[in-house]
Amino acid sequence: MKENNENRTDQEVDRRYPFQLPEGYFDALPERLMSNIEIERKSPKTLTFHRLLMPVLSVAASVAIILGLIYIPSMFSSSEKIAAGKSTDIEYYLTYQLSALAIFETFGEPVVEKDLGYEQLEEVLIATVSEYELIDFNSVK
Amino acid sequence: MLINSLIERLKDPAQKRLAFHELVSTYQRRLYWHIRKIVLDHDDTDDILQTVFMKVWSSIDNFREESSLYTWLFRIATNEALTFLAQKKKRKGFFIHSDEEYLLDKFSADQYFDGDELHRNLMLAVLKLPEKQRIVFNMKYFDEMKYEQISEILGTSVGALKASYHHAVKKIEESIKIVVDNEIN
Repeated sequence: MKENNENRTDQEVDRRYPFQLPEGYFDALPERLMSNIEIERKSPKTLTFHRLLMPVLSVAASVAIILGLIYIPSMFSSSEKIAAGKSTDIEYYLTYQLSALAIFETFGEPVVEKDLGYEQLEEVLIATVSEYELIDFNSVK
Repeated sequence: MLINSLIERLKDPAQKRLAFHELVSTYQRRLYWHIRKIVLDHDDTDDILQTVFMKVWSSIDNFREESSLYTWLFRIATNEALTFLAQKKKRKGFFIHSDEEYLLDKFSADQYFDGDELHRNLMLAVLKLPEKQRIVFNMKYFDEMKYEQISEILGTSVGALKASYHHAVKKIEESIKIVVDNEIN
């Protein structure tokens, strides 16, 4: 093995990244991407439906909460009704509605994932460098 | 292929599909290997590369041409690859101290490795480098990019890049020397 390495030129040893990939990968990639684009282009119909549904659900959740807030005082005004277990129903009702509202909020406009900015990327990169590796630049040729 | 013409055609709805096909054909190999050197695994690279090109498709209208198209593509690719590794670390519940453990596992199981013993030792040494050093080393050594190009892509000063590369080379030399000494003894 050593003999083989000694016979190699720097060009052969230094510059070849020693990994392969499936045959025909690059031939197929452009078409695969165009297919993905086509699929995404057709998917907005679902998004449109979701966009119509979201406001309706938000209004419904808001009305439910308001009704709940109105309903609770009258419930607690009667100890007999509390004893009858109605408070459990209210808790479930409100919990369900509040949870639903929280969930509906996640249905909002798609959040565009922000790319790391230059400074942020540098911070990410620098964060992985130990203090030992932060050397005096002036000493580098 | 004239880059300016390509950018114009990418921004023209009537020509976008054809121009995008041309863009992919032109840059796929360089972007693929750039990503592959960061995440190592072919399947992961494939996923990330597709994400990169889909992002390019979606946001080409916002490309303000303050940098070259090549630089912009490589920035997106680098961001996506690093985000991928960060997410892998998160999913492992912070038990991974660095990418090293994840990547060494991937390397040991990689069916596409095509090198000899020297390459294996080199790769093992490279994979042990801190993330920043590894990326800089790959871009300088394997991709033979100029420091100015790397600086534009990573947003790091040329001086810092030279320092990173200098230290990376030293570490790799020490690492390979240890292996060779062990073989001799």
